[in-house]
Amino acid sequence: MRRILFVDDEPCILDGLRRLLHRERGEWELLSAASGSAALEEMARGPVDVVLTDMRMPGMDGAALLEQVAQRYPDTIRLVLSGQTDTAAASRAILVAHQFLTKPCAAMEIRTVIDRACALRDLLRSPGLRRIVGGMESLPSAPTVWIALRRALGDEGASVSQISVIIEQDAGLGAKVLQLVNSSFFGQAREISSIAHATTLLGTGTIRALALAEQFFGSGLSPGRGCSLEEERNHALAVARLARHILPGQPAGEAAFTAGLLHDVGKLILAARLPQPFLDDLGEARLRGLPLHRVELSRTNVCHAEVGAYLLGLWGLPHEVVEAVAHHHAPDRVAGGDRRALVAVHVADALVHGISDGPGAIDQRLDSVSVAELGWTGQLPEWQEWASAQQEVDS
Amino acid sequence: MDRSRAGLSLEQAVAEGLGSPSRESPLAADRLASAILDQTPDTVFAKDLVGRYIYINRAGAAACGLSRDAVLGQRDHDLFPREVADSLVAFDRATLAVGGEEIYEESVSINGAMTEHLVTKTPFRDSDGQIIGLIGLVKDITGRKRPEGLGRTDTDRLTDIIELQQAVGTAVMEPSAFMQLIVQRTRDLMGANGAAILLRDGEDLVIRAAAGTTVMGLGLRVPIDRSLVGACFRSNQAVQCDDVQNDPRVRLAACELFQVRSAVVVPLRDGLTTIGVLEAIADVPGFFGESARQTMLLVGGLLSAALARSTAFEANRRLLDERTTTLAALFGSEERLRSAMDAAQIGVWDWDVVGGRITWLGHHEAICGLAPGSFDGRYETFLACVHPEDRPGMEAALTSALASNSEYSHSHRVVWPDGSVHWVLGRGEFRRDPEGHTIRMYGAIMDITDRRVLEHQLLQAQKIEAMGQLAAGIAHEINTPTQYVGDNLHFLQEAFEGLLRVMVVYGDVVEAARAVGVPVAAADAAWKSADGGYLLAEIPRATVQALDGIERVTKIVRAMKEFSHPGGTEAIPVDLNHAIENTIAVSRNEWKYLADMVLELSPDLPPVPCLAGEIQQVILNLIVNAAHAIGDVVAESGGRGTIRISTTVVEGFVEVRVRDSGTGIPLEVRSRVFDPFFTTKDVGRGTGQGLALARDAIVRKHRGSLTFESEVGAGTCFLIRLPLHAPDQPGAES
Repeated sequence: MRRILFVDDEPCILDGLRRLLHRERGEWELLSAASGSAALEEMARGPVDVVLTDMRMPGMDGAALLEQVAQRYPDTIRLVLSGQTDTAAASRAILVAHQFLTKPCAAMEIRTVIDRACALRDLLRSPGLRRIVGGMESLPSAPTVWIALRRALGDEGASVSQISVIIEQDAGLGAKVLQLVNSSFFGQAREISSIAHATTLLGTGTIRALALAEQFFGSGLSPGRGCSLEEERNHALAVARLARHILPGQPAGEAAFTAGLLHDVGKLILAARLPQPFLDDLGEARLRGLPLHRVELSRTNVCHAEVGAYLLGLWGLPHEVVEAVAHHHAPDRVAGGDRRALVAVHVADALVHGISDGPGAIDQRLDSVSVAELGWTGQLPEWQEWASAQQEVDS
Repeated sequence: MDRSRAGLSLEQAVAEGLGSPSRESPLAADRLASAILDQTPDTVFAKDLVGRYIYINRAGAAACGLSRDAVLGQRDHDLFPREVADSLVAFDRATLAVGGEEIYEESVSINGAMTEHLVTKTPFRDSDGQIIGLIGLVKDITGRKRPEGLGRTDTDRLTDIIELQQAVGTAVMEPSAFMQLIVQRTRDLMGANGAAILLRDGEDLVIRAAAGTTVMGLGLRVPIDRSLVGACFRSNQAVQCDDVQNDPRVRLAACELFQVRSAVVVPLRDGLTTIGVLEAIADVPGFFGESARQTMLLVGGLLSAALARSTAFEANRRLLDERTTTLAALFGSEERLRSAMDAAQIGVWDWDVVGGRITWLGHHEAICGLAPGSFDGRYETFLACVHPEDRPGMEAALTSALASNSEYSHSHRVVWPDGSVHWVLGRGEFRRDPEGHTIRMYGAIMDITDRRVLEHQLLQAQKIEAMGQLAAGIAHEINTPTQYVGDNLHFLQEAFEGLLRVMVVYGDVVEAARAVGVPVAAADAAWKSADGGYLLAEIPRATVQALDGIERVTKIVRAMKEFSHPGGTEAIPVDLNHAIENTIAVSRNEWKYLADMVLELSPDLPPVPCLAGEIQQVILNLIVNAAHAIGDVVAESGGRGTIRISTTVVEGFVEVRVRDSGTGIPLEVRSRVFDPFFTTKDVGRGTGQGLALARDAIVRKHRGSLTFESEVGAGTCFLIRLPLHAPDQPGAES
């Protein structure tokens, strides 16, 4: 039984939601609180899986409540349902909430968002890990990219396309931009997977305002030992570009680029929050010449792919991106549907590792069955060559 | 009356109008500037082209040991020993010849005591760039061993302040442009890394203008209750921070981002109310000293006063004053006067009230749309030029100026023979003979049409902004009840389905009971009294319709919010079809009783880079015009018209057509449709600005085109063409 807590100072809203979700009574236990402090009392009585709160309330407002929740119960999923409709309100909320919904929100959408959020928990079964990941407000961003962004934002003449080129180079920046755009505040009819598109929709004014709240883009986060943000960024960018090259000119190619850029964010989280175990795993992987995820899986049954996907899922990123990140080591775990973005990221990751770690790395990683199913086997040498050429250009 | 006599009387008029130099100098046209200059410990003066002092501040007069009135109007040779005067004049000439700043040091012996001065002289120019005099700044540096560069810096600062005052005095007083000017100059003046103006908005201060490193903070809100700028705002006094790292008042995170180590902040006031602050920042600790703080206070005071009086009308008046002043400076011959009036594009009149004749000079005829030399000197002829609606107002203004013996200052429209409408501003004064009879009136007139257009645009923008705030507030109010009405309706729908299943079972039970002879009359009666069959059929339909209604409310609120709050000032890719649908939704009331709306929107329209707010305004204007045109037809014939809106993609352009079945545009006015202030609508129904603004938005801001085809009696079709690739977004990314 999932326990869902609704918080709103308007009793009609609470009653309405309770009635709306009455049919879920077999699976969801619905709780309600008329204020922030009442919500915290409720949570003290027993664990809550999802909190959905209004923003503007007398006394403790929604943002303050969620700050408390993030500190005390980091593995509780934090959602906002607000009648406020300005960008500033959405940006503030998204600092403490995993997702932001606007009133009026269709009945289906509320159900879907809660459902999906709950389903994510199957991805990461360890409550300890969930606490760690749920508490992340942002991802560390690479200093060079952060500096470039700040410089561009300081230039009054900078166009939004110049800025999107910068944001596209960093997982931490890109993920946050997608989180904001995919909040229902923007009322987009469909999910946005392209970082460039998301940046354009926000506009330089909003990006500038976001960059001021430094925790938003994680500029101050320490990457932790054993993890070089610049190296991670280079690898992620190479995978992203190759994934897009594999699916040229298609919407799936943009999703593949984004998933490629974000595929290893789990490493950033683990390095920052569980540095010692992560360092041990990394050392062992090098020693035994194994891919990192194999070592992680043999030790804890969870690898960085699921950790990263869990956070991106919490942030409401499009399903195809979350899925491609979660299963980028083992695309065969996903049966059916459009798997092109997923397999493109998988192939790109394997080929880029082949360039940096030697051809043996490809054999260790590549799921040749999934590649063959899409009829891509014959193109692998060309893609590998393209990736090598790209890396030479970059260096 | 011949021209030379008119010129002579004008000379007197302007000279008298200006007053003798001792009354008020043209340089310090406003008293505030004068007051500020009087606060500086250094000498500041201005001379006209022939070397007469036309301004000197308090310190300057004191340094000469004379009263101000004794200095003004005099030349150096009247005031100083010959050799001193010779050298002063030589430098004046050099400054005027070079046309730029000259700096030198001089030693002067006054009453046996040697003083050393650092002197800066700069030519000053009228708005057309003509040199009309020079400004001097004398700093006493006696006995001061100047640290390297310091004297120069201080001098620079004061010169800059004077320049700033001039710039502010002559600027078109549009507050945002002008705040930008101030922050930029403040940053240069202070040698700071950044400068910003923050104005109060609710509980916060908002960065409204910025230069240097603070630019990325534009629009940022800073809480008044915990920030350095807030401390200044609350205390209403200058606040200084020498090192942010040891200062509890600052917000360190923000400082880090803007690379702030030290700062100085001064308040901005409107009368007694503090309205905001001016801030300068540096990236090293202890950058700002006492003189920096003083300078900031001066600039802050200047800005406060300027903001307070920054109405557009005031700006017009000042411009005319300034141009008249320019005339005075250039006075000497009628030819020079004429060329000056040409340059300033003003017209001048001399009205001989007794003789009943008016003489026009300069651009007066051109401003009224008359051929050169065609004005016959009659007041009635001038009155005929004035827009019929504006004649009573203008005559009332004249009468009132005459009765109260005060200055005449009035703006009104004139209509040219070709029918085009122009706005003018006239200012003048009556002259009386010693017995007090009015004998003449002198004045000047200028065309202010461009300014009126700007004012209208500004007003329009303010209206849209206000509407946006209102719409956001209303949306918030409506969205909460919409949420729970919708939730409850969904619940009722599902609940009734459940209840229906129960009813079916109960019905079976009743029938089974009836079959075995159990009495069921009560059940039958209840069913009949409630009209059960009707309820079962109608309740689901009622909930579906109610849900549909709530869906429509949601859409309209969303459309209203998006329409009135369409985002920033940069072109971003916009779904034009969606923008058109929003506009139709918010304007429905304008057309729904007159016309049917037919949409032919291309389903595969790519996103168009544009300013959504501007485009929606243009489409709104076209829809409202179409509805009015149809209304004129429908009023006569009855029935309904059609508005047809289509979107198509044609070779790198998106075309939007708004076609109406209205009256059509008469041939003779087609060439003036886009002229500002041109309207065929009744008073109060149109400003004549809609299409002028629309064209400006499409052509200038989007590099597109706005054209129309029209047939009288059949209707009009307006065509908007927008380029698919904005200049700064060359094609799709590779």
